Amino acid sequence: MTAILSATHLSAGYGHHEIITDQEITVQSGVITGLIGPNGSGKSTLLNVLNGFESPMAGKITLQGRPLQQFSAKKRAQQIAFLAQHPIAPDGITVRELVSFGRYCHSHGFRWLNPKDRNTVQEAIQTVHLNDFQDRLVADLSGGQRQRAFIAMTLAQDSPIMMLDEPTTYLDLTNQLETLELLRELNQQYHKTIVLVLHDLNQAAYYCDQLICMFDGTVKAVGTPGKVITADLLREEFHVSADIVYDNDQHRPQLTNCHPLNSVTAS
Amino acid sequence: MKSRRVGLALLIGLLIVSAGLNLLGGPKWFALNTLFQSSTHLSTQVLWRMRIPRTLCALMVGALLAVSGQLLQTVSHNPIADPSILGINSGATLALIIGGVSGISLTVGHSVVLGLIGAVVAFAVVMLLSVSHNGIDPLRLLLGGTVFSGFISCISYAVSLVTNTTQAFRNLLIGGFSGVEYAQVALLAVVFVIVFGLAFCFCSGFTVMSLDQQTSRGLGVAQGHLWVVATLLIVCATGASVAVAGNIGFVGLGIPQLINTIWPGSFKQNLGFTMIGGAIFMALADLVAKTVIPGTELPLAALSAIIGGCFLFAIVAFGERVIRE
Repeated sequence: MTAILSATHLSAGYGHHEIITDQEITVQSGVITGLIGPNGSGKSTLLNVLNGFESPMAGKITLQGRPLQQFSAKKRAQQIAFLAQHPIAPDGITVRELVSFGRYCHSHGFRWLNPKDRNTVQEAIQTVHLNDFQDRLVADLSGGQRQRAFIAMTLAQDSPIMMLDEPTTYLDLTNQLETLELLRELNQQYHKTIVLVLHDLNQAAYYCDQLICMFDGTVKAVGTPGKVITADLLREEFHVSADIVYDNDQHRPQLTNCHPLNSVTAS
Repeated sequence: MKSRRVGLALLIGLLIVSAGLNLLGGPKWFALNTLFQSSTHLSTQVLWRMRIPRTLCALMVGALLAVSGQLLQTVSHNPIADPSILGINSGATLALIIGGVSGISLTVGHSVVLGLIGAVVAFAVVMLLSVSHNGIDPLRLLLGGTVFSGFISCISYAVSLVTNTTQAFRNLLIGGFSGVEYAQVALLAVVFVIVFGLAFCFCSGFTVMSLDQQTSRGLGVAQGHLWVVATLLIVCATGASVAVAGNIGFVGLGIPQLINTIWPGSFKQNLGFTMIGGAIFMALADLVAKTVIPGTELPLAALSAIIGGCFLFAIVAFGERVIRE
């Protein structure tokens, strides 16, 4: 497997406050990589430097073999699509218009949508199954539909990499699973490299091929879910005790019987 | 789609009617054929020398103010941002008054330079007030701007009261188009072409920028560049408008809001609508200002504020759902 995005000696933070110090991170091409870790462990900070929003305080980030800083805003967006945790669409925008925003990074000069762009937009809408809703206002959609519309927008960017910051946080269970299934489909059919932040370890283990576990600004563990999610890690970093069940063939661990270690009721 | 085409036709129709009314209306109403009589007629001269430049100025100032409001609302993610609320108009007014008091003759050229300086300084101050550690805070922008705007307006009045020049700067302080000539028309036309040329060139960028900051960044918008362009456009439009017609507020707030309530849409879709809407509004407001009380020009700023205030009240009271249903 080849690395599509990598960072060496990476330090990052906001202002003078360093959150991540001297870390090595590699994102493999064509796989789903999950960023896990407790709140405040530096997952969002990491995502914000890997997608080029913030410059690292030190270290080098390489995208497709070239330094990330050399990419212009549009060129970067052609490589990495990003979906924020709580994206907000302006009033009065239809689904199709929203999805067409994804083509902005491919626009030259003052022309926006050529016939090829329109095709890509239409395909993206089809992929997320919003055909019947494409003329609806985004504001009138349900939470799950809105999330799919935004995913279609990032899909229209036609970029090899998609990054998503907690894409399931504001959704109910059905929509969480549907979103994750959709991402897996995008990974398998279109060979998208997907990087996402997840809080639910069972979902992370079930849907991700690679996990990067952050704790306190450092990478604590990297590898397949079976390798990363261990009783030791849960105890030391998440302060949780749990039984781990493995499925037969895939080595995708699932947690049951979880207890917080320092809680009164658990002891 | 269909309702937009109908809307556009409707707006253009209204534009023609209101421009015509503004042209012919005044202390004395003229018939349309006065325009084409031989130029020795006094009323024909009045039309060509005074009424036509006035109408053209009103149309362009209305369009410029409305679009600078729409632009500011889009890039600052703040539906009630407007150059006049943020004190950009007041800044330009103050600069003109200070210039006038200190002995600079307020020719068209001098006025526009002073207006631009005032607008730039005011915008810079308001931006500095609203910058927090994670960029521009919309709430601080609005609150800081409102306070700053009031403060600057007070200074303007104080300066002109102390120096006993309220009468000389009447037009500037309360807004109005009386006495505009072709020089002002030419100036506004240049600014108009620059502002709308750039606004149309960059409109896809501004449209995408109306999404939240992180999402639009992810889509490849170079936000710094677009902020610079937007600032340039807003300052040019506002500075030139104030230099010609004084401190007129609420157009930038009311018109984009009204257009977006009737035809909800993106920046790109509503740019032309807002431009025409602003022009219609200003032509009608000016018509009211010069006709309602014969022989007296009503203060256009107050008039605009009253109408704009009613708009705002209606928007808040009835909510945005009224038209959509």
